[in-house]
Amino acid sequence: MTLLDGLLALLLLLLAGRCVTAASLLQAIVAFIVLGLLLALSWVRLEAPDLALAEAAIGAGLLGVLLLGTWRRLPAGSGEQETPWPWQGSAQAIAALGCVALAVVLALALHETTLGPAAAGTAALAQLEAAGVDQPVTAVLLNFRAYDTLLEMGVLLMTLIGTLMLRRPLQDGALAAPATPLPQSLARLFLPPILLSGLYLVWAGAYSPGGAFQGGAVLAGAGVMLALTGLLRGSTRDDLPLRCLLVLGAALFTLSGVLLIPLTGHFMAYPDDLVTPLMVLIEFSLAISIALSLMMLFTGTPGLCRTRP
Amino acid sequence: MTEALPVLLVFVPFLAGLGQFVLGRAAPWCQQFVSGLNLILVLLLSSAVVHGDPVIADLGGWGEPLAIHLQADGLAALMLLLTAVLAVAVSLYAIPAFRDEPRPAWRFWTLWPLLLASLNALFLSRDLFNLYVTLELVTLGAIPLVLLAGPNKTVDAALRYLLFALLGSLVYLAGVALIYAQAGTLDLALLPAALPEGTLSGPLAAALIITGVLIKGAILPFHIWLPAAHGNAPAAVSAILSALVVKAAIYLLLRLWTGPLEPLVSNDAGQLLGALGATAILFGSWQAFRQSRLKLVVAYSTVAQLGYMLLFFPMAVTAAWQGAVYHGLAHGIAKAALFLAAGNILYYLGQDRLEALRGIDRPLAVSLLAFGLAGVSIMGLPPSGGFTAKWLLLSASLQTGQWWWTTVLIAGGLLAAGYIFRVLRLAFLQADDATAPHHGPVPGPLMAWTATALALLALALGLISAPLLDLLGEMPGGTS
Amino acid sequence: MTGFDPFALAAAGLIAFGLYGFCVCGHPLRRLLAINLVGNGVFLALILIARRLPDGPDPVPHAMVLTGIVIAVSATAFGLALIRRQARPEDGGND
Repeated sequence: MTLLDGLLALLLLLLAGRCVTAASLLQAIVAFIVLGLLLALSWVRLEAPDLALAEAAIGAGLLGVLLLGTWRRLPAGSGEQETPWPWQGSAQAIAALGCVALAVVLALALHETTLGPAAAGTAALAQLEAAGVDQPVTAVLLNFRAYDTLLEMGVLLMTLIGTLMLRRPLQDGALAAPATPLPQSLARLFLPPILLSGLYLVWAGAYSPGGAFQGGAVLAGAGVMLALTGLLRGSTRDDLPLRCLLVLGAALFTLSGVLLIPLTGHFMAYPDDLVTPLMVLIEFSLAISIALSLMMLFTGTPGLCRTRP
Repeated sequence: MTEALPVLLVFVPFLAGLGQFVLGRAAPWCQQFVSGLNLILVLLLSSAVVHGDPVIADLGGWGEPLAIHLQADGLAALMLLLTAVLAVAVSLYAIPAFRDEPRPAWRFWTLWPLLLASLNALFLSRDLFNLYVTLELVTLGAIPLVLLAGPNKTVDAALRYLLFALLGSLVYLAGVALIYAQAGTLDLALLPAALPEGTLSGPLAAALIITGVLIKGAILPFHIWLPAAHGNAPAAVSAILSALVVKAAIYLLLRLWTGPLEPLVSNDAGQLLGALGATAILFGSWQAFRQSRLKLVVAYSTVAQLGYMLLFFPMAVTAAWQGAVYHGLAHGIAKAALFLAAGNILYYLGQDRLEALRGIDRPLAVSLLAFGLAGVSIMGLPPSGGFTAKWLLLSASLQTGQWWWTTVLIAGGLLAAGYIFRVLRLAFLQADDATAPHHGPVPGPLMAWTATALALLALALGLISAPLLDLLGEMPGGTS
Repeated sequence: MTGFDPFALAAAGLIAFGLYGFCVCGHPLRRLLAINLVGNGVFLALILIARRLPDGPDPVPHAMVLTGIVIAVSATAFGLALIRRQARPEDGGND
């Protein structure tokens, strides 16, 4: 047990060092992606399977595809060897010393706080009955601290607007069709099970690991697969239904929070008899918005369309 | 009824932004309505705060220690007031400024209400992790706005801004994690009592949180992303960034220092922050004096002026508290006026190199008037708001016997006079050849007069300080 | 658990490596990777902190991690778009 943990921790540290010091940018990116997957594995060991799912899907998977795609778009040789600047050696040594000192203090601090009360966490577990879902994390995200999740949807929307302003699509006509390792027929075959498992993850969030973010990420992953194989491509025409779906989660979340005030007396509270259906509705709408936002962060275009064979 | 006000302040502009996004084309009039309504709500909230206890909204009704609370006290109300006044002015200014460009206009009118909602949310939040989310909202709303000036020109500045902002917020989050590990709650009101004493993680968490906020607030040595971003954004956006977005980080520092971090920080840390502030004042003013582009002069001036707010930390008495917050207000109004006036000059000339300013005094008289009047407040001359703030800081330094901050205040004022008069001298005194060559039209009355109105307000802040300082109140937990 | 948790070391190490990378790397993509290392370290620390409750992991830090991951990934995706734009400024619409 502990041996495996120690090995995982050691590998994480080695990969982090590799990611920072690797001579080639591609090696650094690959180290980062492997690190993300191992991190997900560690989180399974640390009783956080739903977070491991999110990290594997979003942190390592989607981000990995984005990183590699960006690397391909850089001029060859960029970021490989950097021209040394004066005092570089001593500056690096000072930075290294500072960071080692910080690491020691941080590790001691984390060790020191391994035991103690957690009033908010205890309260969350105690009030789980009233929250309308059995899964504690989902209850915190969508009920106890729903306001954070709502503002987070704002972050997603604003980064999407920022990305679309740059118009540097990762996936354009030249890249889409031929240079793919995954044939289109295979993608078509995989699509239904991936979509189903994404929807299942959203649904399962109420009582087991999963939820809007993990499900949304898997749905986005299905979209990215379609884009990579050329079945779906970004288009420069943005249309009203797509924009509506992008804000669906945030809008529904806010409106239910405001409109239910007369019934509950509090903003973002749910009446007892409606809490479960409302949470499921909000969860699905959030998942749709998240999936589309992540997908369009990937394509970098304001619209999506199917490629006609 | 008053409990609804904080919630409305966040969600009215938030929903307006979502609506504007769905609409797909610019609708400036909607934003005028929203910023007007926002001002009315803030005035109602301020009158509720000044007459009694803070206004608190319990989101979701789960109570302490679990739920997120929104809370408006005197400090929050003043920052909301500053935001609301600037929102009205900037929204009016942006109508003509973005009229000719439909795509950027739509993005501006979408992002700006979302940013307004984020700023309101940050000032109202009473939760350490929620503050992290609002900090991210504010920066990730601000960076796309910088890009509106044209991606090719601003991409370097935006990227550097993003990298520093992301690092700052993650360092802050590391501190939040350590705080939660010890206290088991994220509620700012419960934290001072919940934090155990004599641990290693306490001061470490405080240091991480403060460092993260300093990076976000562009305090020297983390200022290097600011001038390019603020100097290259469209004028309306520069005004928002300099007056509100970086100030939000300093606001957070004031709020946390006098609240949850109070048992964790020492007087030495305060002196260190004061020294950083003093260095920022002197270095930023000197850099502002050396710039050759008008908007960079104003941007470096922001680096300097933020330093004054840090002078609160070494002194930590009520006069310093009031001085630092009032400086935030006065600088916010005056700096927005400066950036809008500089924007008018750029709009007319098509460039903002200082040597090109010769001979613009006749066509741009009103904008130059605004620049000069706002400069009075930046220099800290009476009767401006800047003077009141510096006077309070000065009396705090005498009260605490820390005379060295007095010399910094005086030197900073002289340097500010230097860079403001350098601009005005070029514009007024060297107008020998009739009119300067220019590439744009004379800015319309809306653009000229919003800048002037803000500059006049910056002056008037020196005369109406009593009710505002009354709203702010004493330093929290302080004995004056 | 009496000994030193290896994952506490890993969390501290990830944060420190990330900060070091941010300080010494010049290329923006490497800096973005370094920032994500810091983020991963902070998330790992939060998950460790969540294990202190006797009856099951504390859902509050878990929710913080989930929110943090989504924010970090969307901000990183935006940063990557900026890097792509910076690398090839000449083409692409400037609307």
